[in-house]
Amino acid sequence: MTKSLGFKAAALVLSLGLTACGGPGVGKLTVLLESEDTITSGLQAGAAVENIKDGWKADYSKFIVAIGDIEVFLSTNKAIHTHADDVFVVDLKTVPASGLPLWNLNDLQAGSWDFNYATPGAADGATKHESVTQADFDAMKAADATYLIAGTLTKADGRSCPPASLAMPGAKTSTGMNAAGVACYTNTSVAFSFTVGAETTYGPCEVDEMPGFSITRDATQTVTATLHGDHLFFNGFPEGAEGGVTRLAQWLADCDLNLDGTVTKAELEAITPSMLSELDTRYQLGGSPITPVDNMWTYVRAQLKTQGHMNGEGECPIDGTPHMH
Amino acid sequence: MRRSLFAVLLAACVDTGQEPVSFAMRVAGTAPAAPAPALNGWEITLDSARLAFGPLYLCPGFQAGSLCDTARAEWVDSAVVDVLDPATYDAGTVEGSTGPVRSWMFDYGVVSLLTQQQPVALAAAQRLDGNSLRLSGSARKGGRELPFALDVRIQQVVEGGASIVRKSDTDTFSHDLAVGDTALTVRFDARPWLRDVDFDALVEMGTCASVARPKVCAGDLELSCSDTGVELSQRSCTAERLVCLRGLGCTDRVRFQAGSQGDQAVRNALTGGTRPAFEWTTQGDVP
Repeated sequence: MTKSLGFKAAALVLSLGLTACGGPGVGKLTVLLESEDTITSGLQAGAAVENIKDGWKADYSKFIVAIGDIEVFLSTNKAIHTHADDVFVVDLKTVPASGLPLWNLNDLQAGSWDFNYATPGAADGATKHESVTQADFDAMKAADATYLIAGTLTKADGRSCPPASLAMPGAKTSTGMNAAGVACYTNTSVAFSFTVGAETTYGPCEVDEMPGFSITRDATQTVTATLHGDHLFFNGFPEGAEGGVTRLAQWLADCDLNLDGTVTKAELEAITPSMLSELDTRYQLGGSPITPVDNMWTYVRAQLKTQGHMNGEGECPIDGTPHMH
Repeated sequence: MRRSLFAVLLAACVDTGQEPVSFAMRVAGTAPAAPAPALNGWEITLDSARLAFGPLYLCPGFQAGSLCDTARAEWVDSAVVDVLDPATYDAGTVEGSTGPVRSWMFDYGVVSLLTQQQPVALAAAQRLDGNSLRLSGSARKGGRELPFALDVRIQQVVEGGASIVRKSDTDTFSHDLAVGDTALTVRFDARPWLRDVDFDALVEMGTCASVARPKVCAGDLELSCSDTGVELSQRSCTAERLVCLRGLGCTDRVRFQAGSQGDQAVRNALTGGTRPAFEWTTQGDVP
């Protein structure tokens, strides 16, 4: 009995040892940057789920972001981690539909890994991508900005209804009132250009409740850091599926206080959410990542902090995991 | 040898690293030391502020909401909080397990369930006639006083099945749940809730000629006006212990309607404004 047990035990140890010598192996990871088509193609007015429901159309001329600081952890042993520190300032408008490969991580042990990345400020060591002009890059660095976003809202019968206590219509004549009794003025094209600080870490990301990615021995895996472009028009801050969201843009048109066809940071900072009649019971502020939501500039920053995803619609907790380097 | 091995295995089987915890859920308000400021120089004194609160979930991750599939601890009941009373009141029991909690989420007595078409009012909201908050008080400026009353129902309209308020990145919250925890007190402060209400918009110093309405306020005088802007009569609201409100004339108080600016200001404050304070009590704390 004892001799049989001893022989079996030895055989077991030998087989385990042989397996250990072969090891799990290593593979590689390529991280792509991906733009949602709401950035590259804009948002249409209409009744479909991803349309802007109040008749405005939104197009971006620039959607520049500082992004990088990739960090991955072996899911079964967080002590095993590696990172790709490069932060790139990239215009998401130019990112191809297949994604832009920007980061590579080699020698990752085969197995499951957690995926994290960041959209930091551009001031500290960011690299200008060829899609970004030097002037825009310098502006972002000077402001330590995360985003430089420029675009235009258009609507054939568009109008702005700025808060009465702040409106500066000058010589313009009101063309009527909105449902809340606020005077409105013709405004068929409303431009905006924001240089915004909205530093955010994303991760560990998951897709359909499956965390991270898997590395296979001697193979290269690909994951994408996906940025959405429609969150500015959400009526709330959904964390999971965005199916319950309504996309609306009238609030932004109503922030053109002097009715010059451009919404500025100063105008947004002057307006509290409660001043905007358009921000009514359809809106939900309870999930904002920045509180208190004291003005509409804070609201813009808060929405931009929610835009990071993985592999399209995969969810990434924000600002939860400190980066380890 | 075999007995020792058995003991080790047994210990390994029962040691999950977590223990159940159960501690008191308490609620409290804040006594206002002075009138609270509102827009344009108005000052607010609250006579009554009753809030429906609950349920509350404490989550292990940094982000609550849909990313918190399983709460580490929860209080699934609801309670009416007298927000002007600083004393703590027991509201039930929080049940959970030991370990870190880094985020929270809660409702104001009206919950969104994936199994229901419409949000459901829990017992606390039912006590407030289906509302999340019932307020009354007075706003004062330059000798003028406006009594007001407000009922607000706060329910999920964006994320079905999700709690309406959750910890933000800028909120500070972290605790390691332990067997020694005896109570969690959630303390509310109503003073910021009316900060963005525009009381100026409720009053006016007009004339029949300048304002095309049947009733116009000239301060606390109600003017009755003809279609052609001629003043037909005057009525002193003050003499009747009433106030004159733009568009209404003499009335006993401001009643903020759903969708009004005042209603929306309070709603925004409760969802996107200053958070309540979370106060932990553990064994050995001085009562």
